[in-house]
Amino acid sequence: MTGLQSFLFTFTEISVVGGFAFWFLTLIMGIFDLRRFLREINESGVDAADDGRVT
Amino acid sequence: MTWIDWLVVGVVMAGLGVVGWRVQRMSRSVAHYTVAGRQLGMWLMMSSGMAGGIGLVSIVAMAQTGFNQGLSFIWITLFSMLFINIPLFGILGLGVMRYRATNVQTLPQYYEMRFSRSVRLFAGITLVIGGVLNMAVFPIVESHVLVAFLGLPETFVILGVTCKTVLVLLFILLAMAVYFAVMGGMVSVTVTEYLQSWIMAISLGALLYFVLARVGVARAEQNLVAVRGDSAFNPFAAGSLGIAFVFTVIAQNIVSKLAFPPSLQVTSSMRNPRIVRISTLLTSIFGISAGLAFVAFGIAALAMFGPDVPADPAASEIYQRALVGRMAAGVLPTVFMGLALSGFICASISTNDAYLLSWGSVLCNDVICPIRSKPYTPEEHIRALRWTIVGIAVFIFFFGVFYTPKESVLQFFYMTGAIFSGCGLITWFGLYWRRASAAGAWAALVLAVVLPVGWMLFRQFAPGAIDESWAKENRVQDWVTLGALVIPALAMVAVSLATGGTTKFVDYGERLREIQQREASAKEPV
Repeated sequence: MTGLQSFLFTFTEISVVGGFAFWFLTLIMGIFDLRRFLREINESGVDAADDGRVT
Repeated sequence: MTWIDWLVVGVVMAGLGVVGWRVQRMSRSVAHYTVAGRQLGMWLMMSSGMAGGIGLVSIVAMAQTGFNQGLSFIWITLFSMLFINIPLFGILGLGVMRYRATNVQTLPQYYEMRFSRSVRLFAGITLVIGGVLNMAVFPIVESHVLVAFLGLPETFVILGVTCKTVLVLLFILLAMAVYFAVMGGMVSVTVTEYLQSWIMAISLGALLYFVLARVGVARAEQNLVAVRGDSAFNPFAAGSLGIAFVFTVIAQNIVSKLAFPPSLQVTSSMRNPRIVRISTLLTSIFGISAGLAFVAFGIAALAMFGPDVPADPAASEIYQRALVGRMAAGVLPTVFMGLALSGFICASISTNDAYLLSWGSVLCNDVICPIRSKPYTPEEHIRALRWTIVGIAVFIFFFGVFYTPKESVLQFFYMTGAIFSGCGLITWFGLYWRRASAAGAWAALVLAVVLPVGWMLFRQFAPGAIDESWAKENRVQDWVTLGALVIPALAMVAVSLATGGTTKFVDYGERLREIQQREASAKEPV
């Protein structure tokens, strides 16, 4: 196995572990964001004019 | 699959269904339904975005790349990450911050603000054609994976009628995606995607562990070197990706940042432009690496099943698309089988519901609404959005019934993606170039549609007219896709310069600075 091939394999292994670690981090931090999102959606008013039209 | 596995699947699906039902009442306006009231925070966006971005079909596509081309794809990923995604989008916030500052719900809405109503209408039609074709292949490919994973027969008889298993699964997957998209729009999709993201992270992580434990990391790596040789590491080697494909991926990476409504709908849903930039930076660094895990599935499958594939191109495609399912079924123990099936279904639903919502929003808001003489009331508008989503799902079902694979999943994505890449071009020009005109936008949009659509129709309806092996060897399809990006960009510049005149350019850079000053004084958290 050449040095380049070894580098690619090592990069992939580190990336995969790092990627999953980051995924779980976003999920844990997302708990707090989700609570805030649900609260703010519930409390937010309804803007009937904000319907995608350009007036 | 034992009864315990089916129990796991049942509990997960029922739980998601109940949550989707309960949050639907929170969608009380069109803005809630399409952009979640623009209340998405950074971590929620990233966690649910991981689920939305990783479809079962993209797992299959990446695994297929790993199976055939090994790690040669990494160079494109690395290049895109280091020289495009991190510096341009993550650090500078190029394009994405200005787009969020426009406050639009859908991409074509911006075209009416910047160019004209007719550009909005045409772009809306273009996006819907390209986008729906792009996602139409998702559920049918995913059904093939589930058939392989569960070891189901090709057909079965119910009440004397012979049914194709793959089509029944296609219907079920689509019905579940429609349920979540229709319920509460972006609010339901976000909340359920967040829960699906948990299931996917756990089940896909476990699957990767069991696969690598069975095959062995060292064995998989040595096998890849022995079987694929240089083409597994060098994207320009014979039998690998080819230079046209590499340039296409890089160009589409930049252009599609401002062309892909499902991603832009999430951008529009976020609280402010600063959050958009920070989350883009983090997902640029880490999000891509999760995709490499799926390339590893393909490399492991190569070690488990060997490199031989059926000689018939269509049969070969179906065989390769089913590899992940067959491999998972071969390595997972009880409970984890149920968990993996839940993860696969979640991966399918989370992408399909977000895409259905996005393409439905574009079709309703940017095609149907502009041609109606009388505006919808908010209630009528939400009802129209729901029926549009159902209509798209029906089309996708029939597409799946008649579709015969001619190319790899990844090539199909890039080819159909090229249809709406013209939209990305005019967004970039519109946001940054004062002289970009409506006539230039028209020229770019038309040319960006003609090339890939013409090519796709030619391939589907005149299969004998071109030597398949010659086309494959010379990468004709990749060159067509690349041409569909470069030629419209040149046309946009040439026609805009030729027509001249005043345009409706707004400097959103100036607006961004005002927003940032306001936020700095309010100290709004991410």
